Amino acid sequence: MTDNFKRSGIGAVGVLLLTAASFLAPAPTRAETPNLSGFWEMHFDSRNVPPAVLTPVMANEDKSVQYKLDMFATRWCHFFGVPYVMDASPIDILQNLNGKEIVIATPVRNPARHIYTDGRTHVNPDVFDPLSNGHSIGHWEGDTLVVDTVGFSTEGMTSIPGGGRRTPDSHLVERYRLVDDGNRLSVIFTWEDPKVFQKPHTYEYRYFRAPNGTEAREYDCNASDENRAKFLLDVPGGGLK
Amino acid sequence: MAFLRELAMCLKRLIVSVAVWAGVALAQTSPSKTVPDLSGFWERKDEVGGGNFAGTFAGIPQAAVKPEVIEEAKRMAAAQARGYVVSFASKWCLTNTYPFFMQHSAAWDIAQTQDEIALVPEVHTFVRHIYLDGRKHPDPKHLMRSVNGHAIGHWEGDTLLVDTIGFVGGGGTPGGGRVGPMTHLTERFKLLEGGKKLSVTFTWEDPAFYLKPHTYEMTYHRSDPGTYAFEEYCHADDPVQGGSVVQPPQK
Repeated sequence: MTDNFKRSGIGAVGVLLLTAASFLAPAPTRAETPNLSGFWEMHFDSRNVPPAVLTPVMANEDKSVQYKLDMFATRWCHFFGVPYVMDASPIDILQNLNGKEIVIATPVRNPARHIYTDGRTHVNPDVFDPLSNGHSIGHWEGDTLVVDTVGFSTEGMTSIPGGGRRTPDSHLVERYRLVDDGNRLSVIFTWEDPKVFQKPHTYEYRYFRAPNGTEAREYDCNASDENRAKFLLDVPGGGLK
Repeated sequence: MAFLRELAMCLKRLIVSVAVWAGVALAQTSPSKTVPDLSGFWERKDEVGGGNFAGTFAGIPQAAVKPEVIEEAKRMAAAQARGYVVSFASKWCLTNTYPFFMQHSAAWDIAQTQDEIALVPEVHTFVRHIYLDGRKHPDPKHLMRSVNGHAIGHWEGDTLLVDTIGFVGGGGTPGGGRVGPMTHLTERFKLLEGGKKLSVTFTWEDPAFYLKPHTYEMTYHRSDPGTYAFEEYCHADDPVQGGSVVQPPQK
């Protein structure tokens, strides 16, 4: 009897302890999602980019056209935009604690990418001023962040890895997912644009988590620098046809 | 009775243990759960002026700068009056140095994580990174100067305290102050009116320019829900933009 009473007494204390523990446990403030925040680097083996299947018009276009477009944007320090900024290593992802937005900052002088994850839809194109980064909205599908982007401008470095270019009609879907125990970040890009691609163009980047203490860089751009301008506009090897 | 005393002592020890454990647990979890949420878009509004935005600078004190700084400003103003172009920054779309975007009419965005806060502008400059992970400023020998400087922050109650060094310099502050390579900036970010407003108090120090610390406060209004970022283009190749600053024939 006494032993039973002791056991029940200790059991009651155990219940008290568990109750206290559950009361003190942090209450979840939002659905648990993977934390993508931090600096991510591109390495030599970060890109798996197959050639795009272009429309006949794009496939037959003089290759110097895209070269000139990109060099012009670089020479004049235009905003580079997506997809170029996703190559500007290291990228810094800031996933807001309140779950409403994810920002991707890069070292180039370019506006950061804003990915709205607050449930909003795309802005009405009738009132939307196109952007080099486009208008991005995101949502989570399990452990994957799915980002949908439209509303691109013609501003910046418009070439797309694998071929083709970003246009105001382009539609980009990205799927962000942590792999390798969170040490790498897989981003699968899929571009659609009926005037550019015969079928959706998909490629994957894998970013490596940067070491702790990684600092942001600022790669400045000075359009008034004559030597820089000469370097960028003089075509090596004798020029283009 | 002995059993009851034993049980009472056991309960007392356990309750004390739970209390201590709970205190430790709260101390560990409270910083991440209780820091104010600064994230979102913020913008300035002319509350005291005629709506032409000039009123947003009302109340900003004049910086107490050294006599040689005043003399240089007078020389530049006189040269400008004679037709000398003081700056071609807008013609060439040069990078805006800090704190330019903090006093600009364009909204700016705060992205906030546990270890970092970023101030994200729309204008021609870089994102400002404020590290909250406990790191220190780099050794001056290894400091890479930047337009936004090297910024580290920590929370003191409901206030985010940010300490910045390592500016490239060359810019100015409201109130006539200067920013140079050795300038030290302290900022205090604090939410007001239940989070509808954000107060930022700037304190600039630099013996090369200031006779005493230059302190002023700016207040920002939380933008409407659904606000989204623009991109403020600047095309130096555009003859119109390039013509924004035309140097007249020099005398």
